Amino acid sequence: MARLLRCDTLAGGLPLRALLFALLLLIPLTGYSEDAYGAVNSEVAEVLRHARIDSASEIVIGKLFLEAESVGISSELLLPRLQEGVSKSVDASLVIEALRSEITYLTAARDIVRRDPEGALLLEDQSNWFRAANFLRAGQSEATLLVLTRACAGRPECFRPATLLYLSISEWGIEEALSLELVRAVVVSNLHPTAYPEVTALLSDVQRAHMDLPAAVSQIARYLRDGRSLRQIARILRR
Amino acid sequence: MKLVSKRIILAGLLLPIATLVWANAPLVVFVGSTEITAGSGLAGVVTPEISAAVDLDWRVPTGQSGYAALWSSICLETAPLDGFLLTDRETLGFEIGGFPGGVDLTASSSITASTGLLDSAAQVEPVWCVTGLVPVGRRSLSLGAEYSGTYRWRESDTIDRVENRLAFRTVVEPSFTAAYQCDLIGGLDLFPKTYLSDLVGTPTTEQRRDCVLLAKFSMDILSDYFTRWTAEASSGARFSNANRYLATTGALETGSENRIFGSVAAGLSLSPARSLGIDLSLAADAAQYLDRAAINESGEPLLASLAYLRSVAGITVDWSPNGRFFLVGTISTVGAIANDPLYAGWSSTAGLSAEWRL
Repeated sequence: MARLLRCDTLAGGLPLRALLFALLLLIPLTGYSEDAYGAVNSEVAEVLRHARIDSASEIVIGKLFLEAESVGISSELLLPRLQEGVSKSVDASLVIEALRSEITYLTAARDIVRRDPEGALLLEDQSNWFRAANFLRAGQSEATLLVLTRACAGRPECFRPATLLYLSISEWGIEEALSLELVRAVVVSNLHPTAYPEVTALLSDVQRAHMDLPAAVSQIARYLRDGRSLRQIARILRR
Repeated sequence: MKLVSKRIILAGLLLPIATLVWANAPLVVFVGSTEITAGSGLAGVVTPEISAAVDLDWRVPTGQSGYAALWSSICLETAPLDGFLLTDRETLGFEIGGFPGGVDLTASSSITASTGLLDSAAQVEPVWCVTGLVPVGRRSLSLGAEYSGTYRWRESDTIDRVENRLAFRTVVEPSFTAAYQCDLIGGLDLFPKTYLSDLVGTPTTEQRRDCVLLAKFSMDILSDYFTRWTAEASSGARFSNANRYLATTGALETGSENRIFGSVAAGLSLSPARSLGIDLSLAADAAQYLDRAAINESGEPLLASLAYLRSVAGITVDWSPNGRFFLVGTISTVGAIANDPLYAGWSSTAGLSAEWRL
């Protein structure tokens, strides 16, 4: 009996049962509980389960996801950033920072897009929302995003290609106002969104022909608004 | 009163023209360039060239889907090592086209000439082309035909040539960023100043005539917003009544221009920034003559027919600091191997051109 008692206690006299109880209480602190995993998106829980992230950071990340959900930002929008951080094995603090930044941009993008009456329709496609946030992240202004949102009103399928086109041509070296003029004309025309790279190819050809590029951009926009196809415009502009 | 009326009429005529010109300002480019070539054989010596040119290109939309274009160029060239002999080259061309009912129609013609007033002989080369392409079903497939021709006339020699080509064209565009084109081409070449030789090498009154058959496949891929890949492959045959009198053996070689040939080419154009354009190209072509003997270094014909393989590589870099002034640098190298030393060798050319747009 005394031997049994000795087994049931540790050197310091702490009862083993008490220790087991304490360990059970500590489980939530050492990792996400099943309940907590259930509260966040199952995909997020799966990523966190396999991530080499310390438990405290896991809790913070889980809370960020839950907070985002509470303000209408679905886990699907944040998940790519988490997956990116996990796959690159970056420090947990950087992942948390990136997620916070993502939430900030997504919130800002939603607020800007909703300023247009048809913005809500555009945001129904989450890829558009994600794109809008990335657009801001790329350093573009609210005003530019709003102009492109308005340009794509009623044509939400054009939003992502239009913003990509805008970023491409403005980063290539076309002034902001001209880039916006061209992108608006491209969206207004019935040009299929997958054909937008043809616009950049035309600009490249115009530059190689040593034409006045700003004037050519305005011409392209005008011809597009007139209903001409890109092929027709290419023939008008260059040999 | 009559004078006033004439002025009003004249103003009425000029105003729309002036408006048209103002709305569609022509492209005027001044070009100064220099080029240096070195290589084996005749190009063994370094041959620098300097040229200056003015190019004008004016293009306007017409109607719902049409356009018209006019271009001209005047160029002066000189080679310092040839005593600064001056040659001139002038070009004048036009093109009209449109898409009536979705059919892609173009007609163009140009003429390039050298007046012969300077140090070079006069020459004229008009070119003409008519193309029609009809979409079949959806946008992805088009069928059409093209007739083109050229006439090369030179005052000083006997290599005048009239070329006529008829091509049946198929264009497939599975997406907006990819286009594939296949041409089946037949051609007839006439040589008004080239006469066949008789058995002892004396020119007869019979002119040389060639028939050319050719199949060509090309593709154009936009792989990125500012990156374009192109590739082309062609193969064909030339059948000619031309003959060649070999003075060394006193033999007449018939069918001396009959041959089969093929070529491949690939290009990459990219523009990482508005100020910079880069073009890379690689090409190779080969020919196997059917009845033309290769001739060795001592001028004696070999048993083997002439065959050669030639390859070309080039890079062009186009840079502009401000969109008005352009520097264009070009480097190209061509190398050929052949069983006839006349067709073998290599040469490299480097050129630099400064262009200023008005």
